[in-house]
Amino acid sequence: MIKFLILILGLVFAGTPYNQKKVLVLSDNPAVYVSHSQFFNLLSKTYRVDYKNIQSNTFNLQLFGEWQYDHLVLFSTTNDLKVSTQELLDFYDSGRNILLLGSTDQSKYFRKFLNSFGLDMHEYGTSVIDYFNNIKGNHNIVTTTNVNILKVDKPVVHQGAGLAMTPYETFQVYGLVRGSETAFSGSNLSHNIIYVGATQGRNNARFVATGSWEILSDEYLNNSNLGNFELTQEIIRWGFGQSKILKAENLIHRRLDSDDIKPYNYRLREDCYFSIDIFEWDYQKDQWIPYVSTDNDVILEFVMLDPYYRVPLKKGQGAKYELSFKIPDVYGVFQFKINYLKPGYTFLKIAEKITVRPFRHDEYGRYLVQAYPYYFSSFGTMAGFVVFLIAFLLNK
Amino acid sequence: MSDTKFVDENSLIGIAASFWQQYSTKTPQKLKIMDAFSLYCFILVIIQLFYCTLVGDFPRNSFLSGIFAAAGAMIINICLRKQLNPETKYMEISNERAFWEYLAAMIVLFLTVINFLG
Repeated sequence: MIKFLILILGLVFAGTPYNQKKVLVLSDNPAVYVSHSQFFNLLSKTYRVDYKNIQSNTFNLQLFGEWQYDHLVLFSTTNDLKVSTQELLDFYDSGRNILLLGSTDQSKYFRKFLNSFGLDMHEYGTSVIDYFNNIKGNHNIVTTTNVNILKVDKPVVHQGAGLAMTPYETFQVYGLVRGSETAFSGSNLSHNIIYVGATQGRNNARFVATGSWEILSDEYLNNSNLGNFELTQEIIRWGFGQSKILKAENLIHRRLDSDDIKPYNYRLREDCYFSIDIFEWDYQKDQWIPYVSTDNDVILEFVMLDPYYRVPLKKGQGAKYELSFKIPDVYGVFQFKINYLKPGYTFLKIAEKITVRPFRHDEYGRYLVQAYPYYFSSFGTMAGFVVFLIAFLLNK
Repeated sequence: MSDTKFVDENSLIGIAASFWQQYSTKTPQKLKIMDAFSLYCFILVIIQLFYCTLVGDFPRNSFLSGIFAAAGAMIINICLRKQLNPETKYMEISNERAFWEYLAAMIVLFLTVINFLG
């Protein structure tokens, strides 16, 4: 009897370990739970999901100063949210991720919320039209194969409004799924229409937004010719912090020929060795594995107001990225800086300070060949002086 | 001055020739030895300056000490010569005292030079 009870309890709690992350899903349209059942199935496999109505008073993002949820999925509505935009932004600032599924008739609340992340929704009532890349000739249901950062092979279907990115260059805002070249929307004739956009903050929290929630609905997810199912999986993995997460630790700098780690100071023109371990989270094996960077792009800067070196690190054994170099002919306080801002990966910003001292008075070279004439002349005057003394004093 | 003069006394060569004649007959032996030593130090200074214009004064301390040794020795020597010559004497001290001061000055000079040489 007791064994049976333990078995039942084990089965009940097997899928929900106590440290699993919690996701809050907010929507005010109950039809969503039917039309996006696959999406919620995928979510429930790895997270504990709470479904709440946007307009209800039964949920609290924060309770006594502690965040109750780890991630947030928002289905946008034509009404405003009870929670203020500031509270949502605080949720994001604390490192938690948000997924916003928009629609073309969403209210100004959601449009302004999008603007805080560098994304912008197209005008009210517009939808993306494409006469060339579409499904069955219906120019409102458009497809694209232009997917960045996420790994999706088949074309992705979109129906509804599109997004736009900030027109200036930032390293934080990405167009994950972009429109094909023949798409346009309303009065926007640019081909920079974005179907799924994302922003990664400096605290490495991720925000993913789409212009229409139909992109994740069952009718496209169940279609095995389309890439929407993979896209949903990838959005859940990337957006909620499971894939492309980097960690850097074990920073070592030492003189090249000694074993003392992080010595008190270095001297001009000494050989220095620097190494750091960079790991990537593997969600399938549930552990940190060594990160392999394509094309040698983890760059170390050796900076004192200006970089004196800016060299890519070489991959060593395991997760080690290392470099040995000669400290330049300048003394002062330098920093080892790594500013790794690869799109899609977490930002690695590392700075470690060292001091470089000038030569001590007995560390300069001795008996330089260049100075031989001067040595000879000094001792030559002394020898001449001795000869002079002898000649002078012995002269009658 | 009974020998015939083959050079004109007012030209440059004449001046040099008459200077050399006066110098070699009138100065005592001791002063000539001192002049030889001064000339030797002066030549050393010239050689070092020539080397410095070729290669540059990289070990600045060594350059300074080399030049200072030779030039300083020359100057101290010239001071003693002035003392020993009754025409150009400038202080009322005996010759022996002048010589001891000369030795002291030279020792200080050589100590400084060796310290600065590295």
